[in-house]
Parts: sequence; C-alpha cells; structure tokens
Amino acid sequence: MTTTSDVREPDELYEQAIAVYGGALVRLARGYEADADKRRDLLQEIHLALWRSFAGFQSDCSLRTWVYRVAHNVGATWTIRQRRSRPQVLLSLEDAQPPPIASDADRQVALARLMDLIRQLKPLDRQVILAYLDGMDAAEIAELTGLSGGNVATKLHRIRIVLTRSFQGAGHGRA
Amino acid sequence: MEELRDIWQNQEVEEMKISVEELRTKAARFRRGIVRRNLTEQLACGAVAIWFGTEFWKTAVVIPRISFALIAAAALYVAWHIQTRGRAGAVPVDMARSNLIEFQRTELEKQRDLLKGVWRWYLGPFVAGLGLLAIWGMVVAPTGRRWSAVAFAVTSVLIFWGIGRLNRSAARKLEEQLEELKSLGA
Repeated sequence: MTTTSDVREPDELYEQAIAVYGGALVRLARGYEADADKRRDLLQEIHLALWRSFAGFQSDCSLRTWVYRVAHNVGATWTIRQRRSRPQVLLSLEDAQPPPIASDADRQVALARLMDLIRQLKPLDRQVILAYLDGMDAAEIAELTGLSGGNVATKLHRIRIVLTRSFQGAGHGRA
Repeated sequence: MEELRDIWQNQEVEEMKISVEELRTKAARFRRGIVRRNLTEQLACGAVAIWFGTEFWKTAVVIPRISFALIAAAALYVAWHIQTRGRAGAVPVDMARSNLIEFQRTELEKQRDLLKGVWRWYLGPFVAGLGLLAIWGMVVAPTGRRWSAVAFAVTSVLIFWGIGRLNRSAARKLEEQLEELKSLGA
C-alpha cells in the first residue's frame, strides 16, 4: 500500500497513481462496462476525475484507497447513468446464480464468465467483488465501501460460495 | 479461489495513457459543457420571462397583467434555481473522500430532493400565474368560447398533476434505495 505523507503536486500524484494502478483501473472499468468503446469513455472519465481529485488530496488516506474510491464512484455513477438508456435488472450477490463452467475450461473462458457475473451485480456488490478479486482484505473493503465489518464478512462469504460453485477448477485448461 | 483471483489480476489489459495536457483540455471542455447546459436552460427560462414580461407591458387589463407578471417571475425563479443547482454536483474530491455508500447516499438524496421538490421549484411557481389566467379566462370569455378556457385549465392541471406524480413515484423508488443503503452502512 502506498501512503503519501509529503505534499505533492496533483500532476505528479496522478502520474504516480497511473504508474502503479493503471492496470487495476482497466480491470475495474471492464467490470463496469462490457462495450469496448464505451469502456474507453469510462476510463477517460475515471482518469479525468482522478486527476481533478488530486487537487484536494489528503495524505491521511492511502493513495490506493483514494484511487479506488474515485474509480469505483465514477464506475457506479456510470452504471446508474447507463441503466437509464439500457435498462437492465441488476442482481444482488444473494440472487446471482451463474451456471457452473466446465472443469477443463481455460482461463479466458473463466475470465469471460467472471466478467458476466460481475456486470450483473448491483454497484455495491460489484464493488465488493472487484475489490476482493483485486486482492483487498475485509478491512480494506470495509474502508472502501463503508459497509460494516459484519456486512463485508457476509458478502465475502457469499462471494466465495458463488465463485466456488461456478468456477471450481477454472483455469486448469489451456491458457 | 486464489486461482480465480490470479486469473483476474493477471488478465491482459491495455493500459490507457492520457497526458496531463490532454486532461487539462478535457477538464476545460467538461466545464464548458456544464456552462453551455446551464445557459441553454436559463435562456429558455429567460425567453419565457421576456415573452410574459412583454405581455405584461402590452396588456392593460389588470388580472392578465398580474398573471403575466407572476409567470415571468416564476420563470426567473426557475432560472435562478437552475443556476444554483448547476453550481452544485459531485466533484471528484468528494468521490475520494466518501466511500461508496456515503457517495451513493449523497447522490440519491440530491436526486430525491430535486424530485420531491419539483412542486416547490418548478411547478409551484407557475401555479399562481397560470391559475389566475385560467380563472379569468373562464369568467370573461363569451359563453360560446368558454370551452377553450376550460380546456386550457384542464390541460394545465393534467400536465402539472402528471409531472408531479411521475416525480413523486421516482422519489419513492429512490427512498427505497436509500433505506437499503442505510441498512448496509457501518
């Protein structure tokens, strides 16, 4: 985790954030938008919001938390906005029941199915699963989302059940 | 489970590179877009205010004059409200300082208040002027042409009622989402 205790210029912070978390932002955008052209627009919005946000950067918050909060909040706003033009019923983790994939499915198939699952979820559940997949622990997810510790634990438990049931053996096939 | 996280974290991605200069240009374009949107809405309100203001000066009959003045004032009030609303809105630094629940709650509350307050800031201001005009029309119109004044009044009531109802229903849906968020919060 990167923490910043010194005062730095917004441009410098932005460049550092992109150098470290640029890949994570692309993954995050893929979780929010399936269409490649629109995803580019979403990513541009995330970059723009991030750059603008650094004018008010406070060093009491880690750079990672800052970047993820901005990116997820832009992503959630994007989802809400897109639903007005592309109505879609979003599911909670409790209702998501993706069918299991073949045990010899390769990584690409598993990834595509994982994307489908993520994009079906409501913004908050989507944020939790994206943070979990990106390697955040329960405490970090609670800080990021504002969920209570109990709710994060419940959601993570549910995520593990859904993923285990649907993706057991995923990635054993050819990459 | 670790395998799935590994698949996720090591997926092939094409990173996007945007220079700071490009971002400056985009930010300026974004600001111009907001200014243009607010200006368009205000020009529409201004046109209404000017039209009814002109009618106010041209008309000698007291009741229509009062109605036109009230409608012009209502349009100016709506323009002022749009200007105030245009200044607000989420800024990226709020996005970073709020977790998703706080941020969504704030955004939902803003939308709900805007919808719930539609009578106060959008429809209500026009009621007095239009109502007075409709009543005056019904009173002074010749018996044979009274139907047009009644039709004007009924249509206005139906439109206002419809807009109000749609907004109330949308606000109720947002309330439900807010309740759901509150139950999830720390």
